[in-house]
Amino acid sequence: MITLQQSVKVFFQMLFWVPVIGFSLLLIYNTLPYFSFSKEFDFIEERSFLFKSNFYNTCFYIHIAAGALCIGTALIQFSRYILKKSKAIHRFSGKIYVFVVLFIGAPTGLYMSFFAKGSFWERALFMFMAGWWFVTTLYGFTTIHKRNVIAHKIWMMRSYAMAMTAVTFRIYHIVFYLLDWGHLENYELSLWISVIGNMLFVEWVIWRQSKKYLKTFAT
Amino acid sequence: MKSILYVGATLMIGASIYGFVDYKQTSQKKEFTSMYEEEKKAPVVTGDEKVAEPAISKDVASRDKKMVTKKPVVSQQEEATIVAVKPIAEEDKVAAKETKLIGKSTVDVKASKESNVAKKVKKKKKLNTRLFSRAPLREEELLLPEPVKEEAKKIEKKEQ
Repeated sequence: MITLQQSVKVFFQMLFWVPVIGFSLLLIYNTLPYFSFSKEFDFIEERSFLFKSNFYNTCFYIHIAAGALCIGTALIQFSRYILKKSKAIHRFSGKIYVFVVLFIGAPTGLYMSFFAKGSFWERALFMFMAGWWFVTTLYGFTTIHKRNVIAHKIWMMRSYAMAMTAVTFRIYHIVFYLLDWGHLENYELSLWISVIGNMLFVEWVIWRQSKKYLKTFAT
Repeated sequence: MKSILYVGATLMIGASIYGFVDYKQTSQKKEFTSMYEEEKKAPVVTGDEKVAEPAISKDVASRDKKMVTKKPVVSQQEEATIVAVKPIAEEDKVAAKETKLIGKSTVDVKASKESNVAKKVKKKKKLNTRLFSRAPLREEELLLPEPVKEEAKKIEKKEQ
């Protein structure tokens, strides 16, 4: 028998996860056309000068493939049902996530951040994102090797929050676009809100769950 | 375990060093510095603005046609009268030998009669899955041809 408290909890979980899964799948869906390797995308046309460089070109395609893979694999990582049913699935997709972030997603993102749109501060923010994504994922991986499940969970939540900035950025960007904001100020503000907002949100969730919050930063 | 850390750290350090060096090289190029600038300059157009596209009249097309001036055939009697006329200056002679341009030298810029008067209209913002792509979200404008006024048509008919 499900109590009212449990049903409310499930409702709020659904309220969070349904949009997260929906938008994540939408992001992956919108990434797929790029693998036609056509140059007729607005994003590529805008940076046509950068795409003349073979290295940047390669980094871009590797980065978006890595990003799509990370977001896709991470979707099943937080499922308690899958974890209870088969730990092998969780471990397998977790290894893919860690490998892709540490060796592909974060390094290519760091390289591309030097050429990102916006001022010096936006580029610095992209660099911070790449660095923090790498560090949190690495901590998440090392903690599970030490059998510290709670710390692993916390660090992976932080890592996932960084991965999800790609999704939340687009949501804010569309909202401000509908509010008739100028393109560049919309871009910059969406970027800052998505990164800081995701970080604050995940810290709030961790703070709620853990008794000694500050100790969560120690591995 | 440590090898993962070392490989990852090497890749990150390599990416940051190569990125910095590459950025230093490309940042000196004009193409890079002006790459994102267009957006700042993009004007915000309201729906009320009307833009008249210039239509160049057909006369202009013929202005480049050249014709060599023919030398006039002069009889002996006329020649005698011509002698009395003040001699032409050297500069004028040179000019007369040169080709002359026929037609108007000025270009008439008119608003065309039919659909050249266009109205810039903001495209309605619709939510669709494409908005969620990496493409920069900008105002899209539609150029709608303004319907030809009946009065203008009547005047044309009268003129014909």
